[in-house]
Amino acid sequence: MTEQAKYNQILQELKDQESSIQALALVDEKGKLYASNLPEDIDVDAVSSVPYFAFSMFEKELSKFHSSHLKQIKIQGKEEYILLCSIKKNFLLAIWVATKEKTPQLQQNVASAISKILGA
Amino acid sequence: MFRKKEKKLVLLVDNFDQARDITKTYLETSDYKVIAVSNAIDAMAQLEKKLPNLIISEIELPGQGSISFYNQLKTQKKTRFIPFIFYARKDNERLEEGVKKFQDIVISKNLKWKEVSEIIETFLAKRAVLKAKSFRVSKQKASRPQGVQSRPQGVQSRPQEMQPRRPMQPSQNVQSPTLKQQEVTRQTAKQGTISQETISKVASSQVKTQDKVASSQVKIQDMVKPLAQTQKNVMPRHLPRQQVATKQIVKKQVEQTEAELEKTVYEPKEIVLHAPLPSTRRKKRKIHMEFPIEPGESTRGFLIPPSNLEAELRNDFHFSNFLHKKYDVLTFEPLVIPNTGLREKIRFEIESEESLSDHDFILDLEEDTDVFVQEEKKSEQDESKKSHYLDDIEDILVSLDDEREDAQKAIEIPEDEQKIADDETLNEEADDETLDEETDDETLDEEADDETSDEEADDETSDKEADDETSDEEADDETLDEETEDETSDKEADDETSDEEADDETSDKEADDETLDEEADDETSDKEAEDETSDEEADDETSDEEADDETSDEEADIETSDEEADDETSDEEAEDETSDEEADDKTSDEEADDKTLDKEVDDETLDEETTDKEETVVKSKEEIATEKEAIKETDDKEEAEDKTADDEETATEKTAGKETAAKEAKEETAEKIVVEKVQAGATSVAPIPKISSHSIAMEEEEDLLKTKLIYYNKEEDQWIQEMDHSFQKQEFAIWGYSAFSMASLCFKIMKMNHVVKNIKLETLENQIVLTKIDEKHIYSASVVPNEL
Repeated sequence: MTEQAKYNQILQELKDQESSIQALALVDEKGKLYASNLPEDIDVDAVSSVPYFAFSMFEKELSKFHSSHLKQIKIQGKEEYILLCSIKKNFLLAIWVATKEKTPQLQQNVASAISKILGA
Repeated sequence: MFRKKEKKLVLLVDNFDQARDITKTYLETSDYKVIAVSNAIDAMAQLEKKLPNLIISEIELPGQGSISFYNQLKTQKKTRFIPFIFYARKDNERLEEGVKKFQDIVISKNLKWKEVSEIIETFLAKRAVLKAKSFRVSKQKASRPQGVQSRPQGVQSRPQEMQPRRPMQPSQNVQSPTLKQQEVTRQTAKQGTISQETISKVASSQVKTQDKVASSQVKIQDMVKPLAQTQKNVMPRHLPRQQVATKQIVKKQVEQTEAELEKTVYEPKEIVLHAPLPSTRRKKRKIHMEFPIEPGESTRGFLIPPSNLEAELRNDFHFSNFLHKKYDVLTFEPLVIPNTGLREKIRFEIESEESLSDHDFILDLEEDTDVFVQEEKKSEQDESKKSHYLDDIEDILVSLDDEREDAQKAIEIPEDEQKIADDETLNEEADDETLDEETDDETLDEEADDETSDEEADDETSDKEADDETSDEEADDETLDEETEDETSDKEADDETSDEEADDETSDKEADDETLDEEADDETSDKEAEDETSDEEADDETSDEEADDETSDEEADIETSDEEADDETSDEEAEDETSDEEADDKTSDEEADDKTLDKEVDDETLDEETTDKEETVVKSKEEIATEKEAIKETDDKEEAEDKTADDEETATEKTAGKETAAKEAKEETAEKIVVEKVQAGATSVAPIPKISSHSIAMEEEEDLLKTKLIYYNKEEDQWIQEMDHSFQKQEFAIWGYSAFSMASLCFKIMKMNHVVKNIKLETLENQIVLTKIDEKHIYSASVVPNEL
């Protein structure tokens, strides 16, 4: 099984575990989309480029304000949120969730998925 | 033809497939040729085939292990001098020390690829220089055999200039010869004579060796160039050597302090910046300054050594805030130490040389003390500013409380509001009806206005006539004459008569007449009509452009206009009464005779009604305003209720999931402030004060907005709020806006139409929450770390 297939499988499992997850994308710092689980009408190029750019921008700017080692970003909307999780400094897992709050179960599932990606 | 530069071969040893692939791709993109293997055995096999220019190995290798692999390489002659880089996740001092012996290095995996590539380049350049040096040394050793002088004297470099038949001394014959050449010279020396051929041979060999040396020097220079370039990149060109040396010393010291800092993260400690000042002075002196600092305190007044370089080495400070001052010291702009509570003390040591006398020295110190005094004053000013800010915040909070109380009061009486609302709706309906009627009768009204304006003038004249009999008589005579002349132009005649009468009357009356005439001429002068009496307001009826709220006014105006029309006729009747004889001749007077008394009565009642209606209109306006306020308040209340309900739901979820870690969500109030709660790690946390948008109002022109930093002090177990004098406001504001725009872009690409409420940034140390209050304001809160 190729790496991409492994990642796709991990993302699929995560999505199956959590019905609230709308979309998933694993991207690297160069904007390469390693794996994804996206709805059909979504622009894949945008998904691959924007989250990592956003994350790196936050990380860069955050260093100016005495903080570093950005782990995660949660962008909260009214009815949904986006999680941007840093993996191994070069990878980013972007998760679009259609619930208001991050539940512990979801959190746990995401953590296990990240560990799976690390071990893949 | 240019020869294509050969790519450097890198042997990459990593058992982790993904990491290996990534590193390989990165290396390949950086113009390296990469052979990737997964273990030490494969690596050794690869080394048998071809020697690489560099070996990069993961520290944790299965089987043989990376250390034994490294030792094996270093014991073999063939592989001993291959540059080696360990790729480790954690810093390992022992390993670094061990590797240093062979001039190798250890790279952290936490570094970004750019940094890694730079390190590799520098490392390779350094190794190349070392190789060149060792090559030169070995060559020099080889080229200095015993009994042969390295620098022969008296030998001319060019063979043409040499004397052919002159016997040469053994000590004069060679210039940097090879072994073979040396042997030849020895033999010739033994023979005692040197042939021309031998001389030419020796000379040519000398030239060749010189060329070789020159070419090797060029090679060395080429190898040194990249290193020099990297050094140039690190160090600014314009700096003198002394400063560069200083910076290097400072850099080392700062690195040491940073390493110490990293060891003990959460313990309060002392930062020491030790910086010898480059100076031409002879005497040495040391200035030690210690500044205790509490977490969250400003560092205004701190002095640091000159040049930004040493400061740039530290990530903890805002280096752009430094200001140059006299005595070669830089001062901090105010800086708030982060909430981690790491540092209690910052100490700076400055060394400098002085050629000054003691007197001067004392003077200098005094001047320094003056600087300190100035800084103390500044700090006092800062404190006063701070207190001022805090006072402002208190005022704002008090005003907020008042607003909330008012809002609550307003919310407590919904029945009254409903009644008011019902009344208003009824009024509005009535207004609508009247408006419809008005629209139906607009033309009629306008006509009536024309008539009434003219007739009003007549009324006034008649009133005035009633006041003054003589003037009445004159007017009556005039009107009668005019009427007889032309009965059809009665009204015009009335106007003229009124004007003529106005000429005879007092100035006040004239003014009244003029205004009336103007109204009669121009019906569109609505504003004037508003300011005037109810009679004049009749003219305003025609102005449909007035606000909808004034429909009741218009209604009243319509009625008044009708009444005025009646008034006019009544006035005309009055005229008729006063002048019965004249009335007999006029047809209009006759008509008026039938209605006079009734209309007079009607006038009185209508006047009363109009005043009542005006009052009701005013009331209705007030009611509309109150209703609007009430609607807003109720909306806010509903929103707040919704938010509180949401927060409660989330809190229950969290308590179900994590009882110890989860904390109740903060309730949202009517000011639309979203404040993040501390989830875990904080056992007792004071509530974050709620701040309305106007607490972050602009204070200075240069600032886009006034940001606010609130953070939690773990030691004191309380929230501390600083009005922003730590962050660069502009920078923070821009960051905030860009952060929200970026976040909303993330939403957009997934076709989420909702607005971004807040952004939570989780770092290893803490959480930073950016909460959007409205389009112009961002609320920032830094909270204690949770252990998610």
